[in-house]
Amino acid sequence: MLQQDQITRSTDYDALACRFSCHLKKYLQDKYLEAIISGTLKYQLLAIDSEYKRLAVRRQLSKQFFGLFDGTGKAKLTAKLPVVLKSPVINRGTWIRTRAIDLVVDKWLAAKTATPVQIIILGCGSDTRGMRLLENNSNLTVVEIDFEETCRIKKYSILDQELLRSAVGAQPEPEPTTVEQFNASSAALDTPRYHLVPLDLRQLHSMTQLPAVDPSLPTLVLSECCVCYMEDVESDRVLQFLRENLAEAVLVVYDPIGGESPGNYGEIMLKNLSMRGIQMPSLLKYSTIEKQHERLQKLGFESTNVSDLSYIYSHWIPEDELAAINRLELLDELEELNLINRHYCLIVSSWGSPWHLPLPSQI
Amino acid sequence: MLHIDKIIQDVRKCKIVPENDIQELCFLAQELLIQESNIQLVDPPVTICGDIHGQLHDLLRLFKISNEPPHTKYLFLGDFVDRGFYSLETFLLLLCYKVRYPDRIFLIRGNHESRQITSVYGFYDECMRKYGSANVWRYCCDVFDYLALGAYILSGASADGGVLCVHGGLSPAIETIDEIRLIDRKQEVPHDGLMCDLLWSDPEENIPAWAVSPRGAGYLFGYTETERFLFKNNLSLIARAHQLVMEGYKEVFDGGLVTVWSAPNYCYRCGNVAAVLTLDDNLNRNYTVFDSMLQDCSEIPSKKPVADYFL
Repeated sequence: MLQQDQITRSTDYDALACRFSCHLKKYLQDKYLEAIISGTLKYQLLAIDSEYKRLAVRRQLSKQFFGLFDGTGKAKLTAKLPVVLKSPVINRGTWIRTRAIDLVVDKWLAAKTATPVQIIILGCGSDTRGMRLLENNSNLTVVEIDFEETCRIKKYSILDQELLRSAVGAQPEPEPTTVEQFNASSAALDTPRYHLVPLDLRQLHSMTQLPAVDPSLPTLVLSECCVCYMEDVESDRVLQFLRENLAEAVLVVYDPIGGESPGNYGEIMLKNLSMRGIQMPSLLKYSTIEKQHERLQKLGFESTNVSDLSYIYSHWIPEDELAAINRLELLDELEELNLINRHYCLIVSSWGSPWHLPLPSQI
Repeated sequence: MLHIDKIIQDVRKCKIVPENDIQELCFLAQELLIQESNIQLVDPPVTICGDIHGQLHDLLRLFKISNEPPHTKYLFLGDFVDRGFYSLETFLLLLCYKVRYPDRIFLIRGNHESRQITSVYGFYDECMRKYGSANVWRYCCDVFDYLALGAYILSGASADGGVLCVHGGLSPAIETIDEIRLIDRKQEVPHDGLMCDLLWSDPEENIPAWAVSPRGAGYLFGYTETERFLFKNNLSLIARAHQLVMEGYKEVFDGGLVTVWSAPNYCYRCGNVAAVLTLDDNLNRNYTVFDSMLQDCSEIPSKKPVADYFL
């Protein structure tokens, strides 16, 4: 695997740690989270063939997950919580991001109860949204796509624990015990309603690579911080491919946007991210919701809801829910939160059979 | 005997200061601060600085631009600690200058100078990381309790009203500056009441009088209340900090209130510029805007900051 792709993969653990912090602070409830983190740590470490590198990664992951998991991935949550979690600003931003996408997905599912539907999650990483959705929607099939390494870790994390196995309807399998066995094993997981597809999205060129997807079914495609890591031509091609091959679908994109003056938020973000080697080619090119909107229009999408997360924060969430969230922890940094939220967008587009999200749109 | 000048040199280079020295410094500072009244009288000219939030290198840059103490008289409006990576050094440096030049630098309390807030926003963890125990954090918090709540700047040379400086803003329970003088300030910042409001409130252009603050403490106060307070107390200006302003400073209410923000590229992420406000002998306002020069501080060991993003 290319080093650049490794780095992109690693951003999944940032998101996972953010969700875990939100979960511990009770912003979000996710009964699968602890299990998926356990498994992710266990199999991420198993996938490493150098003892020294494993030690280093173990230390780094332990720190990333607030010291709450031991070296084998076992949770130490019985220990009291003196730990430093993510800052309130990051918790609040993670919550609104997750909540906003949940709202879109739930509204779409609520409009499609009479027919079988599918959700395709691009760059799913270790996200548990698919499992939560399967539990509550019997007409739904979930197809998750990510790099092979990520899928393999997720697959065995799922198979390792009854809670996750039953969530996706999988049967136990003998597990690989050595690095060689692990890395040689198949990374795909297919159950009647859940498919984990190891695929570099940039190589997607034919529907035969996605046998689990029924192109005639109503489909929701979710790209949550996924296409932003690709070069424009590559992400254009992926989106266009889906546009041409799915008959009736909704595309939901959550991506950072670099913004424009005052300040140079985007440039600083690129600089900060580059310290970790992360590249984000679209950040300054599609730096505003207008430019993101235009981009999707050019690709043939009709976007029905284009908003930044600051707008969503103040227009989508009922007042009593916001009040409850405000009580969870003191947030002193309102201006900063609004500034950060203005630099993430959520765009909902549809084709085939038009669907309008019944929530206010900024554009 | 404490060598303040040596500590100043060390802190400026982010060298670890022995725990005992910090304890002694904090005692000295307390003895000094206990003599100050809740509202410190400060003569112009003076340079007013807003939130610093542990961005030591930007504070050093501020001193470079506006002149090192004691050559310029400074008034810092609180929020010295939390968020940035050098909260301890930032606070110690300001404290050293205070002890060394008590009449050339004034520190008032921000809402982050509190045990509760520093346990969440980074200062506590920083002290634990650097010293392995909470002692240093405790010494500093004890100093916080003695910091003045505001400052009053009056010019003998000008007939204009004075300038009131606080960290946050007004309180519906306070009509006159004299009422602030009566508060027993030597305590942890309470969750409500006058003292809390002074440190937590924000001006709001879209409301006339008072509203609940979305921060969970303090109030939002509008134009008419500000006008009334200015008139009643013969003030020409309320100078406060507390809110990130992308342009470094922002005057509202017909110039009756200004927010000054002195942490450029806040949290190494926000991309804002910073400002300080210098009032001359006649209380004329001069703003100095500056940006972050983290990269230029090559002589200072600088931990590479990695700001959090949603990825």
